[in-house]
Amino acid sequence: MLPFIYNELIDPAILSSLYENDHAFIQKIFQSFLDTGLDGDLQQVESCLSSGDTDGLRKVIHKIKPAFGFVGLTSIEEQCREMELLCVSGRSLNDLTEKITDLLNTIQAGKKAIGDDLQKLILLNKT
Amino acid sequence: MSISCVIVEDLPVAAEYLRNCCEKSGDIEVLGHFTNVNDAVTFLNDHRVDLIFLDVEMPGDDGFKLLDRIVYSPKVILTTSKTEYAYNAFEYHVTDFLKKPFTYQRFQEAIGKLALQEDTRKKESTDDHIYIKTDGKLVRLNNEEILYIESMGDYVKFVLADKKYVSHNTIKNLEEKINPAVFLKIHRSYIVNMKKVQNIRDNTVVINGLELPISKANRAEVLKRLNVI
Repeated sequence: MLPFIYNELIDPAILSSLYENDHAFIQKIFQSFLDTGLDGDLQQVESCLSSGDTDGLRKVIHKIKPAFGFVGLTSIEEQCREMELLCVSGRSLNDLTEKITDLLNTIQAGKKAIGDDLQKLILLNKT
Repeated sequence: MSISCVIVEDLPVAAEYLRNCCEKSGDIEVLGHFTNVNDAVTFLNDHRVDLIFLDVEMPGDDGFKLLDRIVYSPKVILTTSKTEYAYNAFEYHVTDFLKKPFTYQRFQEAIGKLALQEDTRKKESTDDHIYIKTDGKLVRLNNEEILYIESMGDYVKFVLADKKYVSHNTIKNLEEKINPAVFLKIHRSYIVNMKKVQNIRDNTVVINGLELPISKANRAEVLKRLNVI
């Protein structure tokens, strides 16, 4: 079987270590990642940002961080880790706003990548 | 080995991953998934499970509060993305600590530790006696002498037919150390010597003429242990 080529945002080495190339398992987790969504959490990120609640921001980012690890979006996981540190560093809200906007955009791109690869996995697992 | 468990985790993708790991292992049955401590406590105080996969940081109470609020002591594997909880993990006698995301191999190692602990516990708990610290000395009590053990806050009372001993300890701690073939926790405040039970009426057991309460959570286990013909 040819190796599955993931979107460049997704780290294949992490997926290989987590799922041992069990594509059915990866499909389930990708599906769960998209179905259960992070929409509520991402809205909470925006609402904490607009109210200047940096502790709330740190908590919600801390909560969603491992979700990216489970789907191989390790660069987003790393970005979340940096954001958690920034939230406790006393940086200005302006600084945070810019970085959070970057993070939210990257998360949207990550979700799209997972969605696209999920479709490919569904086809692969059918054959 | 067949292990019943619940998953207490507010991150859906992590819960789904764990559920799949349990299925893949073939040894672990998932009885429920809860996203907050209150719902999990309600379930756990009505159903005994062998193991809890427990996230620490959740909305409302944290995972350690759950361990304070349940009436028995199942094994616990913490699943968290922070390593700062290692000290608490040690304090609460958790079996292992899985940092998210973890591999299936790491999951299997944690389950392996669980089996190892159980083997050790079985070997240790074949003893026919215990030593308790009371009045500045260690006193040997043979299992057959003990009628029941009663919680008194930070102390416990060992009740024998003709004597009582008070020792600094907790029911939760004793539950893990005494011989499970002889003793059974029937209530958050009572462990009884099953060989001394004279009869059971409604939600009480009678030992030496004394009625002791059976809690709702422990009732099924008590009935399972009786040799009802």
